[in-house]
Amino acid sequence: MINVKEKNRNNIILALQIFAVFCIAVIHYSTLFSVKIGTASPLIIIPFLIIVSYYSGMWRGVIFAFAYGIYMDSVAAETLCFNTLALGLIICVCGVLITYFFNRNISAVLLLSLGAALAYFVLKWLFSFVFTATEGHHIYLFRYAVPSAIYSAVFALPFYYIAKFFSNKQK
Amino acid sequence: MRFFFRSRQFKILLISIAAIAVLSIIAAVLGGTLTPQSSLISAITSPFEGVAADISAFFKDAGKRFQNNEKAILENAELQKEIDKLREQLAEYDEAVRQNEFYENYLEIKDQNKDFQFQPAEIIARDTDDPFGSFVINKGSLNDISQYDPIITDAGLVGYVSKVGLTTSKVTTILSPQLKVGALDNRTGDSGVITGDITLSQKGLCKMNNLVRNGKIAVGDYVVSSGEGIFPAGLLIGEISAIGNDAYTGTLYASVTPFTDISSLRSVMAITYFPGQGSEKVTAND
Repeated sequence: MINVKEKNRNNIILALQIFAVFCIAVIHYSTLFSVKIGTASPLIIIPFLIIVSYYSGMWRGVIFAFAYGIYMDSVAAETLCFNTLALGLIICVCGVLITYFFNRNISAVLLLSLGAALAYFVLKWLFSFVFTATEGHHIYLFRYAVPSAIYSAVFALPFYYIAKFFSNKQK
Repeated sequence: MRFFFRSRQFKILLISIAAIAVLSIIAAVLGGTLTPQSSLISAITSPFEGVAADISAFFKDAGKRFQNNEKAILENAELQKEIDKLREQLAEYDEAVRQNEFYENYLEIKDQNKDFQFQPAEIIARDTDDPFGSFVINKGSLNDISQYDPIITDAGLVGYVSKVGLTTSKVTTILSPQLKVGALDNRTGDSGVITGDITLSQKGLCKMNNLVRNGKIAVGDYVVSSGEGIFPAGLLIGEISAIGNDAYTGTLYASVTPFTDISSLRSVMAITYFPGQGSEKVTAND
């Protein structure tokens, strides 16, 4: 039986996570806070959702992934529901890997973040450029997708240490 | 792990994915509209996106004013308007020079511009993941916006409406390979097709394909829409900045610098009606 104190703590953590998702959306889409470096445009939400899956359970990560994916699709250029399905499935797979195969350490978080980001950008390359027979699609893969995936994984470091700090404080 | 696949949460996940896939297929079949969930989210978030865009613009302008005084900014805006006006006059002068040859039909089409109907719109969100600069405007089907409506500014063509929601619409820009515009060299009358290119889009340029080798096209010429496809004739597109051979097809092409700086746009105009609209329902992407 979960006591009232722990229930309140969970609600506070959920509120903080929702606020963090909102901040990530603002950073991602606002021209005022640009984190882009050259052609590398990170998808910061991916490492964040990996951390949420680690510390709050895989299903919370999946729900956040679907919600953020729906929002991305409302702004995205062409593909229908791509972000919703891609983010949801990738985070679901990551959640299964976290639950059954990986330990909670920085190496696992970095590896999963890099893998998830690469999966997302490769899928985006396939659906947006390869399947639409766009000329020069390999340029997108090597100049945009791969650098963006690597840059996205870098954000796992601060998220991991922030989550670890709060997790240690709770103990 | 097998318990995971038998769990209730996994079944709910599968049903959610199936529902989203069905909604996507429905939206794809209907064509031109946002998916129901995207439309709902857009309708809810567009006011907040508009506020966020305004706040972002306010802080950007405040920063600029801090660095340059307000007088210089106003003077710059006036000079830019004058340059745009001079470009139009120069384009009209070139028209008059070619009038005796085969420009008469072109002038007749230009006169029909008086029948255009416009809908102003603000940019409320940009797809930062899209290398071709697509964005979302704050007008949708409730404001008479339809799929394939041209999007312009006073400087020139920006793109077209690719998806329409109730209160928002997505715009595909001329930097995108998905868009193909029939175009003419304003001076020589050489025809081509304006489209986007992944390499050129990084520099904010687009491409004019299908040029004839014995044409008289030259760097510095202005390019306007020819009226083929979904765009009316006479829309300013850009200026030819380079001419070369396409690496994939070996045909002659020209790099075109759009008159509109797509990355810094805040307001645009949608042409909701022009004579002949609707006769070509596809983007000539086929």
